[in-house]
Order: sequence, then structure tokens, then C-alpha cells
Amino acid sequence: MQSKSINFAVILSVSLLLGIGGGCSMDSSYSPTAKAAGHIPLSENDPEAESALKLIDKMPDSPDGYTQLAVLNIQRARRTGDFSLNTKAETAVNRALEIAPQDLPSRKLSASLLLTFHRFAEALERGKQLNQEFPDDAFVFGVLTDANFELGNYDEAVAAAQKMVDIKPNSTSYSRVAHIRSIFGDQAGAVEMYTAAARSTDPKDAEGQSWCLVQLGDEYFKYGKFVEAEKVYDEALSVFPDFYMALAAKGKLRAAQNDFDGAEKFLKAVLDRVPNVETAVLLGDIYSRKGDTDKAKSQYDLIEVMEQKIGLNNDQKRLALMWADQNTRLGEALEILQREQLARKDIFTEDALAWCLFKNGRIKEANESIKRAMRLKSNDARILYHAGVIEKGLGHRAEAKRLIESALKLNPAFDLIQNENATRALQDLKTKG
Amino acid sequence: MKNSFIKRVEKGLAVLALTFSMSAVPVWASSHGEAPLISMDRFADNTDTYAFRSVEAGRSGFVTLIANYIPLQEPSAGPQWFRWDDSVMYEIKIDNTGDGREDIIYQFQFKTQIVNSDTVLGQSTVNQDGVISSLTDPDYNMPQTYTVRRIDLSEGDNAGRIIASGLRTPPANIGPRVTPNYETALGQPAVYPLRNGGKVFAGQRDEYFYIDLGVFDALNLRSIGVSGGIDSTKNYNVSTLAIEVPIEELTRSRAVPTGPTAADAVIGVWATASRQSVKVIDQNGTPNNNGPWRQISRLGAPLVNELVIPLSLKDAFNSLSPRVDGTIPRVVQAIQDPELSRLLAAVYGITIPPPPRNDLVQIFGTGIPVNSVTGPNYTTFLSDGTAHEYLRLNVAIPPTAIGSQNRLGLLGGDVAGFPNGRRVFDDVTDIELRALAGGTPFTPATNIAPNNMLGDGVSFNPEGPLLTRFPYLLPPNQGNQPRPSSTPTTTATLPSVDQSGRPMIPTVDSDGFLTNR
Repeated sequence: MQSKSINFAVILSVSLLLGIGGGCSMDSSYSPTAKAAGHIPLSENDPEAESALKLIDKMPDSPDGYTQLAVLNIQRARRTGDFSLNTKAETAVNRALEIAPQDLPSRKLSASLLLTFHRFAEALERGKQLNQEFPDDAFVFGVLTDANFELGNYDEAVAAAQKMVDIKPNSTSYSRVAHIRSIFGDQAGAVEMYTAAARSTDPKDAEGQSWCLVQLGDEYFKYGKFVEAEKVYDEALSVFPDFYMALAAKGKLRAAQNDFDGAEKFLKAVLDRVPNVETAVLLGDIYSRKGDTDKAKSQYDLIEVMEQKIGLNNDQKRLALMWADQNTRLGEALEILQREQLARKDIFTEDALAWCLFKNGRIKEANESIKRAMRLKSNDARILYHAGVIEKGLGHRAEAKRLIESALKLNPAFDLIQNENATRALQDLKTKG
Repeated sequence: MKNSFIKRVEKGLAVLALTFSMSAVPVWASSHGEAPLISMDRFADNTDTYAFRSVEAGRSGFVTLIANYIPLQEPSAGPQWFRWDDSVMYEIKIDNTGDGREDIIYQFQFKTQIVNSDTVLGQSTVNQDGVISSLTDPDYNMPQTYTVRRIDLSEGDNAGRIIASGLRTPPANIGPRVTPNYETALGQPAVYPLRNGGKVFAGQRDEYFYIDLGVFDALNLRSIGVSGGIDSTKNYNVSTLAIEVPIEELTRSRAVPTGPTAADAVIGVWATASRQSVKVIDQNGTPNNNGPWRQISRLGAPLVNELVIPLSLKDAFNSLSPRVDGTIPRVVQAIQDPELSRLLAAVYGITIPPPPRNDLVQIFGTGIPVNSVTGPNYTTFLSDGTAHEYLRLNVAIPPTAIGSQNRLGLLGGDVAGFPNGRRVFDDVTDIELRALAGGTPFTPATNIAPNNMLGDGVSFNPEGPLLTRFPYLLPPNQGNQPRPSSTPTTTATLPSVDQSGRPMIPTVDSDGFLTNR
């Protein structure tokens, strides 16, 4: 009984972060003990983790210390891009759930980690269970929004986001509304909501605020509004210096402006911190555009190694898309996307699948898939370009011309290599049309 | 030094954990980043609500209402500093009929202006000489103005009327160079007179609420035992809305009550924060960002939201109107049989009153009726028969002069203090610990030591006494100063456990100092 009583303040801090509470939280000084760390892989000299370790030490049969440790690791993962911290969070949450299988904060964290690990179908199931038990919980509607969004269940995602923002309008729900508006092609609406999300983020949550600003910048970038995008990316960096997502955004922007040396600096800084396929492909593309084919090739080769080494099955879609763009390993690329599409039908998966089908000469199926990718009228230049090329392949030249034109009009620098292909394709359509 | 066995075990378990998780090593998704799910919303977070008869000289006909928001502001919080959120509706609500429904609302909304947007410095910048010497100084780069609307629902006035607009909030107390002479130049000038004879202020102040949050950790008395009580909020600031209005503007009768037991003598007070919902996707394709306002934070009586309402109920409780409190069994149950009372009993082996705790229902839910304990002229009763959680102030009980007030309010024989409203001065932590333990005259059987001597060892605000004038709260702690270490606010030290290993009980003497039992 005693152990369950301790530390209202710390319990509150977790509950607040999970969007449960009111009041304030604070911690007093404490030296963590080795015992407190239990089997959670965590450094011993870790002042930020003190209160969690203290709680675990004092209340070994309570989930609260472990959930606090999980929250800390999730936030650190977001701040640093060190995704292995999410695994530590998962370990802590699992421990909390062993102790108290019905503990609400632990169950919510567990569901949100499934999203982080891209186990969207499982996240959806968990979200539904939690939603049945706690029908007014905004966080749970957030899980439902994200899971449905990623799985391509857009109507369900809209409904869940509406519930979330109705229960608790704040930066977490505003950013989800913005995401949805963006994918539905509502640029003005997305900009407004990303702005609202950034402005209402907790003043001490630099990463959260910076994240919202990067999304806002990306929304401008998507429509080729580079000046507006850069202003917002710079603000993101001033709020949270060296934030890897903001650095990556700056790199992408510089590349789009043909400042390849500038872009290279930003992208390398990102890859030093957070190896990831998207940034690595862009760097390869920059080398290609600079005419350094050897360097480009080794960069692209590195991506394959990287994806096999650290990516496992998590960003194979981007890898497959790269193969398709480069007309290499097309069979493998298609297999990856076919497998992925069994699990999720979001527009980006459909688009990548369409592109791989097209490259494998299966144009009729490609056409069906790209139509599904375009069902939301998302105003995504890459999707429009792919659709145009597929229409061209089908002999629908007028429609092909319209689509490729609109892709290039939307964002003339949507892809460093493909935008040139798009321009050539358009020229071809115009001259031979 | 870590025991090598433990090290081995940890290493083994770490490897095991990794093995189990290998299939799920996450990477940075390519098409999007995940939106955060874990976050706080401090801009819309109530911290404390106060309601008391004004004690400033010549203001005996007025009531002061204070609602604090945005907790734990560090004084050096640049470059952005703390501000009011333009997208939040801040409200102080009054029920004067006992049905739990607000009859009168004071509604505050803010608007941020930017003098020079080409700066990264935010609230202050060198547009002139870099010193903010007045509320209209051009170096005050992001001044905020606000509007106060009074809504009188009892008169069917749903739209209300604006009673003040274009008022300026002072900047944060940035530091000795940018905001010298803070109180004279910026704090006091931000106190504005109202047409009804009252006053209003909105801005940063010192967090006067004092508490050793370790008291909760220290149901085993560790922090107190080691160092004496430590004010956990020392050197932090908070954002304050303060409004002073004539008594008759708040009562049911629209008159000054004839005496403390008159039907119109007690008012209920609570504060809220709301944000606007939006339509995710509008049918006609135009963004709709002006959906209905949703209450996301609520605060009436001190520490109820924090100590009495269980975690799984907090989201719901924060969105509720006091009108429905009594109809929600879990809210009622939480007050009738609080977990913390049971914990006090379990940890310290003390006897507490058995549930249902009608004494607590009276304090928090219905008000205290006239009775033999409080005498014929004391009551805070305001209820239609069901519980509504908010502060209750009997506006006909005269205020106690500064200097004669007792920090324990009613328990200290000072009828003008908590739970008759709440003065900033009141030591609500000690009072409520005792109330939860049944150490009050309302439960005579348990009104014994140590139940009626519990305390957290912090009995005053270490930054100094309150101002003797509106808005009473001290100016904010200045930024860009060496941060003093938290020093004990009492001198007592205690062992954390007694000889049998049982946690020592945190009791305090009449001045709030820890006693060595």
C-alpha cells in the first residue's frame, strides 16, 4: 500500500504529458540508484531520468516509474532522432504492463509506440479497444487518427481527428487536422492548422514547436513556395537549433534551389546524426546532378546497405521507389510494394506500387493503383507526375500532358532527378502531341 | 559502484530486450514525421484560483478574483518568454444560485502585436534603446492587449458586454537590462481601473502558491526529513488574471447581502481555459477554424483536481461544468472516499473517518452549513442539493486585516480564509492534508494529533509577503539572475523513519514549522 502512495508529483507529470491531467509537477533532488534502473537499459548518471528511477526504486510494484521512463525515452527519441530510444521506451512500457496490465497511461503509450514502430494495424486494434473502454480520451482518438491515416482509411481518420479536436483542441489535435487537410489538398487549411499547432505548443517543448514549423514549411515546399518555406524552417532552427528534421528540410530546400553544395552540407549533417533513406537518396541525387556519377553510385549503394542494416522492413518503400526511378531491381521493388500494399492502402503506398507496376510493364494495374493514389486530390507533385507518365503509356496524351504540367506547376523541384524526366516527358508530349 | 552481478543481469536483459524488439526497430519515416501525441498544454492550464474580499485600504466593498495559469515559468525563459495564448479563452466564472451553472462570466482574450518581425529576439528587441521602460515602449516588441467581457447569463445576456478593451499586459520580467524598475514602470501601470470602480490586471507575477511537492513523495517523509520543507515553486512565475469587482456585481440579488446567512451571501467561483475546436474537413472545401469552444482546464477549490480526482477521470473532469459534478458517480465517489486519505491512513497508521466523507463533500461540493462548529454566522453553503465543486466565498463575512490573518483559515480561527473563498496567503496544503485526514472539528473523533497537525513544512512564500494592494501577488522573479538554490523554508530536520521503520509523520507547529514528533 505504501509503495502505491508515493509521488503524486511524478505520476502527475506522466499523466499531464499523456494529456490526462491538470496541476503542476515537479521533482526534488535525488540520486538514482543502480537498483532503480532495473533491467531498463539506461545510463546511471542521467539527471533527467532521476525521478523515474526514484519512482521505480521506491515503488517497484507500480507501473508509474516505468511509464515515466518510457515518456522520457520517447521524447528523447524525437529530439535526437536516436530511434533506439523508442525500443528502450517499449521495454519500459512492457515492464509497466507486466506489473499492471490495465494501467491506462501504459496502455496508451504502448499503442502509440506501435505507431512509432509502424505496426499500424496492431495500433488500430489497440486504439479501438482503448476507445471502447475510454470513449472520451483524446489521446486514444489520436492513435485512431494516425493508425487509420497510415492504413489509408481516410474517412475513419477524419472522424477520429474530429472527435480528438472536439474533445481537446490543442497542438496535438491541431497538427493532425493539418495533416489530414494537407493530404486532402487543402493547402490554406493545412497552413492555418500547422500554424495554430506551432503557436499552441508548450513553450518549453522546443522539439514539438520546431516539428510543427517543419511541417508548416513542408506544406509551403509542397506547393513550390520556397521563400515562405525557408522562413519557417529557419524559425524551426532558431526554436530548436540543430533539429535534424529542420536541417533535412533546409537541405531539401537548398537542393530545390540548385544550391547543391549548400544542400550537401545540411544533408550530411543530418545523416551523421540520423541515417535515413530519404535523406540519403537526396544526397545521391545531388551527386548525380553535380555529374559525380561515381559518388552518386556509391551513395545509392550505401542506401541498400543502410536499409538492410538498420531499416529492416521500415522504409523499404522509399528504397523500392529509388530502384524504380533508376530502372533497376524492378522485380524486387514490385514485390516490396505488393507486400506493403497488402497491409496498407494509403495513397503513398498506392502511388509507389503504381510506379513499380508501370516500370514492370504492368500498365493496366498501374493505372488502377494510381487512380487509388489520386482519390483524395492531394496535390502531390510526385503522384501527379507518375499519373501523367502512366496516362502517357496508355496513350492518353492530353490527360498525360495536363497531369505532368500540373505536377511541374505545383512544385518544379519536387524531385531532383524526376523533375527533369517530367520536363522531358512534357516536351515530348508537346512536340509530338 | 555497481555490483557486478547486477551489471551482468542488466546486460543480459538488455540483450534480451533488443532481441525481442529487433523486428521493430523504427526508422524515420520517409513520407511524413509522426505528429507528437505526448504533450502538455500549459498555455491553457489553470494552476490556482483565488476569491476573497479585498483587503487593500478603502476597498472593503469589493471582491478580488484571481485566476492563475501557465505553471512553473522559469524567469529566464528567453528568447520567447511566456505570453498569453491568443487562441485560448480564459474565464472566471461565478455561480450565485447553487445550481452549479455559471451566472456571471469574466472572459479574457488576448491579441499579440509585433512591432518588428525581423528579429529573433521575440518579446523584446532593440527597436530604440533596448530598454522597455513603459507598456508602450517600442522595444516591447511583442506587446499583448486584451479584452474583458462580462457575461450575465442570469439576465439572459449570452453575448455579454465588453467592460475593458485594448488593455496592455506587461512583458515578462526579462532581466535587469531590458526590464529595470519592473513594478514601477510596467507592473503597476498594467493595473487598469474599471468603470464599475474595480480594477483589472493580466500579466506575469511571482508564483505565491507555496508547497513542498515532495510531501506527496514524502508520505515517507524523505524530502522533509532531510532538508525541512522546500518550496517547490520558489523562483517560478505564473500568469495572473486578477479582477476586482463590487460585491453587488456578483450576488444573486445584485445587492450587498445583509449578513453572512442571507440567501445571497455565498458565491461559487472557478476558472477555466478553453480552445476552439475546428472542422477537420469542411464540405465546401473552405477551412473552418472557428468551431465551438471546448473547456480543457478547470480549477475551483485548490488541489481537488490534483489530489482528489483520479487520473482516469482527469480529462473528463477538466471538461466538465460543476453543474454536472454531482451526477457523475466517480466524481462523487472520489470526494466521498479519496484515495489520498486512505493512503495517509495506510502509510502513517493513523485513523481516518470512514467513508462516505460527508465532511469533504461539504468542503468541496456543497459548502459548510451553519452549524455548532462554525457558529451561527458562518456558512459557505451554496447548493441546490447536489455537489458542485468550486470555491465558495461568503461575501458578507468581513475580511481579516493583513497582519491578523491566519494561514490556516477557518482551522486557525480566521473565518475570512479558506474554505471561505481562498486568499493567496492561505496554506491550503496544510489545511487540506488535515481535512483529508479528518483532523478538523467537523470530524471530532479524528480531530486529534497527528491528524490535525499534518503539514508539508512550507508555511509561507519565501520570495516575500504579499503586496498590500491589488493585484496582491508579487512582481515576477527577474530573469537573467543567478538562480538561488532551493533552500529550506523551515529550519527543522527530522529523521525520515522512526525506530520501527515506520515513516515519520509530517506534522507542523502553529507557525507551520516541522515538529519533531
